[in-house]
Amino acid sequence: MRLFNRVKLLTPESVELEFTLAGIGSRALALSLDYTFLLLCLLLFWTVWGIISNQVLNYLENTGAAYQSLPIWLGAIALLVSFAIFVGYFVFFEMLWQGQTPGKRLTKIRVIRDNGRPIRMSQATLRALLRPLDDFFFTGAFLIFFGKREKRLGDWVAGTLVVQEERPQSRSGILVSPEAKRLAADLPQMTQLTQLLPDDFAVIREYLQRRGFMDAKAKSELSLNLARQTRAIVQLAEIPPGLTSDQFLEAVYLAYQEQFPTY
Amino acid sequence: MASSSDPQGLVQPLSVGNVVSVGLRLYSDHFKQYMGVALVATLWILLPIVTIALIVGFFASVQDYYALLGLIIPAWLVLLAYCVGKYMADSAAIARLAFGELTQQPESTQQAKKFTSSRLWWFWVTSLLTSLIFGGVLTAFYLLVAVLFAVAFGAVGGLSVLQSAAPEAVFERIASSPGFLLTFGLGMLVVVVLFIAIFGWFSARFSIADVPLAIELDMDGARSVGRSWQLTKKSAWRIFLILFIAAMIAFVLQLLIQIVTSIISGVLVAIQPSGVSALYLLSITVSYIFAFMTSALFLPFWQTIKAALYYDLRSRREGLGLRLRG
Repeated sequence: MRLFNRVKLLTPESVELEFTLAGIGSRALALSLDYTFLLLCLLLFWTVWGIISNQVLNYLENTGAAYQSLPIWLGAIALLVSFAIFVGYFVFFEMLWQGQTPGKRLTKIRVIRDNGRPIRMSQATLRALLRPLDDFFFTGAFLIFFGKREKRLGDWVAGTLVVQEERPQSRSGILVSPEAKRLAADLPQMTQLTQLLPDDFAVIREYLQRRGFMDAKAKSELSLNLARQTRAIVQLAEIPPGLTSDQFLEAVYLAYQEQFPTY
Repeated sequence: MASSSDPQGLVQPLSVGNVVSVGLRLYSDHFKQYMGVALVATLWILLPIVTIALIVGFFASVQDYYALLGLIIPAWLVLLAYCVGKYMADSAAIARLAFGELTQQPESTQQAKKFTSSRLWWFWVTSLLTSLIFGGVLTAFYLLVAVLFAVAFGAVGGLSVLQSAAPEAVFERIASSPGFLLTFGLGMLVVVVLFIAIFGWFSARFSIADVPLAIELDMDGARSVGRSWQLTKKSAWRIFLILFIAAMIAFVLQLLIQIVTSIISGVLVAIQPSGVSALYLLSITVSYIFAFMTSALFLPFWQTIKAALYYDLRSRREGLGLRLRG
């Protein structure tokens, strides 16, 4: 079963790219974040505009000039600027961050063109202009929810897709103890490290990266299990005495990474 | 390399939005199956309601045999308890089925229902415990607000109301003072925010209280609540956000159903202008059927999201799915 919709795109250079579509959950979250930020921007603008208008009207009152039509103008300008902020917010950020707004950045999704390239000003503007239509009776939400390619009206017209940002595998966040470092130096001679497949290594790395968040009891069980399995795979008779299973896994991680730096 | 977007191996934990997306995907991919379970579950709730209607109808028309009530009422209460238990067990079966899909160990509907039905009374324990906890939190919150209100009232000179000969006049004076209004307004805002924060936090911590009971071996009603508490530790606000997004999507779907319902009742009115009482009965029936269907429709919605959430928490807190080959 596929949990996410995926699309395969062929670039003009005949390179096949595969993307995972953003999904209704991430898009709803991104939208609610963006609308919150947008609301704050508009509130700020209205407050500032209100204060300025008030000052100007007070000033004109004192000079005794005729200004009857001014309030309407001030209101009209405020409306225009509000609309500009609404559209500009999305266009500005999607240009600045290559298809991402603050909400999309936080939810790790991105707008791209149908051919996989970064969006341009015209696509960003079309999407932003059609946004009110998509918001009307949540039309866009239904289109995203029921459509195979998760496109709202703005996406159809502008020819865009919203995809999940592929996370680069980070190597940070793994603390290796001195004991593990010492063992790591000896491991290549002691064991058959080559027996460990990249997928196994990925699991060990995944564990080491995420262990800090884990429940203590579950973590020690998992650590013991992984260490036992790893020991069997690399054909080590027994884990050197005095070493915890975590330290052993750290050592394997370090030794493997040094032997196969590409992983 | 495995990543969260890998359709087969969900090795990495899910993001907030993806928990919701995965839950909804599970639902839409197994719509018939889950909806079937949900309809049966909701019918179980209907059974005691229909029974009590029949009983009331019987006594209203016969107006005799009241002695039988001593027997009928306890029997009906037992039926009610059993039916509600059945409802909870069947609902939990949906979460079990969804979790089975996520761990690539799918079960048949019968198997899942059999498993959760065997724990029917434990589901009662779980829901009673969570209700008690929420009741306690609610009471504590009310007390806190009452104390705060009393202190605030005293601070703006409320004591003089009690001492004065004409309390209403003094009260009016205080109530119209800008200081009081400002304090009152701000205070209400703080209370509302506090209420949302406290209940959001507790809802998050107990959001999956019945899921371990539906899935894990060697579980009972109380331990399932404990498991929920333990798994959701450090994740309360993330879960709050997940529930918020899910509620937002549920609201949109609800709106769609609302539109369909009003169109149908509008059509009913249009095609049958005569026979007011028959029409009334018909529209009542239609609205009941729709309420029933809606509640059945949203049951798998929340259960699959809970299953996805449970899966994600197991993965984060216990490294579920992290294993080497073989």
